[in-house]
Amino acid sequence: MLLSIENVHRRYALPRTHLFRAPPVIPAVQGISLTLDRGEILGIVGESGSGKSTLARMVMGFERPDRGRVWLNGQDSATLPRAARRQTQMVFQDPYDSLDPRRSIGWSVAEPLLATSMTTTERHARAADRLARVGLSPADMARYPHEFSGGQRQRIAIARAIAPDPALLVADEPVAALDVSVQAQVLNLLMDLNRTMGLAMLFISHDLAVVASIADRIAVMQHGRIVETGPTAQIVAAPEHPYTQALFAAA
Amino acid sequence: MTLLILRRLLGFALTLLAISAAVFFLMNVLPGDPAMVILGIESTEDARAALRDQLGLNDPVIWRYLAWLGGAVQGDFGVSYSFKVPVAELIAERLPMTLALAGLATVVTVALALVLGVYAATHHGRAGDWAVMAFSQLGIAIPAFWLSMLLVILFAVTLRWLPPGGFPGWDDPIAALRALILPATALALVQSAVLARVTRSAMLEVMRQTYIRTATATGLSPARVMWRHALPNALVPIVTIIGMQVANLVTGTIVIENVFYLPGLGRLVFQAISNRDLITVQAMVTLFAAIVVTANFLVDLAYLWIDPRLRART
Repeated sequence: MLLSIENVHRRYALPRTHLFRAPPVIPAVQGISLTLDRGEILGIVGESGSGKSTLARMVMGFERPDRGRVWLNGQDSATLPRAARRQTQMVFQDPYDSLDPRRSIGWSVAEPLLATSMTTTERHARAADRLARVGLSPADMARYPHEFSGGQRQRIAIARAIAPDPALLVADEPVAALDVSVQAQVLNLLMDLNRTMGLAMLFISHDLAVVASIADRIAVMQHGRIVETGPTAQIVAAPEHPYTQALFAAA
Repeated sequence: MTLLILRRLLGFALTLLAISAAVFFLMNVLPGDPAMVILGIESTEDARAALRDQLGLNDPVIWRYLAWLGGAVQGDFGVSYSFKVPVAELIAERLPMTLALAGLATVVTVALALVLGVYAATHHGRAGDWAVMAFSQLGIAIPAFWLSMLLVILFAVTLRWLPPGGFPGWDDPIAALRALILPATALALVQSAVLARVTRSAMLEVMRQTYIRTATATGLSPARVMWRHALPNALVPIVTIIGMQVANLVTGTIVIENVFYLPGLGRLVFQAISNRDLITVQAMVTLFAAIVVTANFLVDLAYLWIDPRLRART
């Protein structure tokens, strides 16, 4: 078991609206339990505000759950040392803004390897290899993010995420900002990496069709809870929950 | 890239030319007779007329400007009316001290402001942030000359750690540096208060960017994310303000050198103005302007280094 989420809760306090009243609280995630095996792709689908991104942030250890635990490789994510965290990498929605504009892409892809024992030459070779895997040329290493299209930048972001050989990739709306034709290319790339590198994925999207095209299993989220979960084929063929059916109607 | 630098260099030269012309003509429309300054009010009108003729003051103003400019580019700014020595010599004697003072103040300003600004940004909304902001508000509110006096009272009079003023010369570098510490601090504290605020807000802006979150997500240490990703990307506004502050620091030396009795350009320009020594004032104002323009030119070059997107546009 690579990832195990046990009954996690997370609430956010909003800014106070009244001096003498407790600030309003948003219960973003209310008791979610999930598991993910090595090499498996788990899709999380739900509308915005359903708590998907909060869940992703807790898996990444950016935030701690108020209640419940997140286990990565049998270790509690809340107390995981930074070196072990490299096992989990993340790809974000906006490819225009996720790369440091001042750094060449070779530099950006190689940077996560700095904390390893690799030499400069090894890091460079690894960055070149990862760029090649995502369909870019190692000759592009000296170029800067602004010289690439949105789809290419998302590939670069993926190359950086897989540079330290992670076991788990958390992809939060990785194709939402891309054109439909480019979406398909990036989805194919992710599936390809899943097969060739055995990379497990937590794939988050508001778009049920996108999730259904890539995930082995799907969990449907609404208001911070999972309303339906099961193998993709089953969810697609016979959605049980009305919310899932509504998502299909919208897709 | 080379083309871009050449273009900036051309702009730099033209700006200097325009400044020299503006300063020259401004000085020439001012009332006051250099012959009267040189010979004194007791002199006869004949003697003054003869001197004006000898100094070439009766020539057309354009002609005199070109003659002055021709000399200036060769380092000849004429002879001071009041000191009776070449202006270039006066400047050469005093320039190192003022450059050392302004340079030291710049280093202190930038170092202090970056540390305080980054600290405040990373502790946004917490006690450390409030403390930095309070210090900065205080620094902005206090005039440099008054801060100078407070520093002298504390460090020179009460604690006797540093000299209260004067300058021992460069023969003893340690003593020279000690003499510059209080004036440079007085200059720098005020400027760093401003720059710390700019650094803080620029950092807060950059820290909201996704690539900062992404850098953290790849497993980099928070310190590395701050100093290698956030700060370099926040540099554009910071460097812009530093460029403007160099002007403040250079002109600030006029006040500070007078408070601390330091023999630099600031005191020279003060004395020259008091003595109606227009030819010296003219050279000094042009020189101060040249320093400021040079600083801005360096800022322009720094942008190219900071932002790879600008480099491509040539």
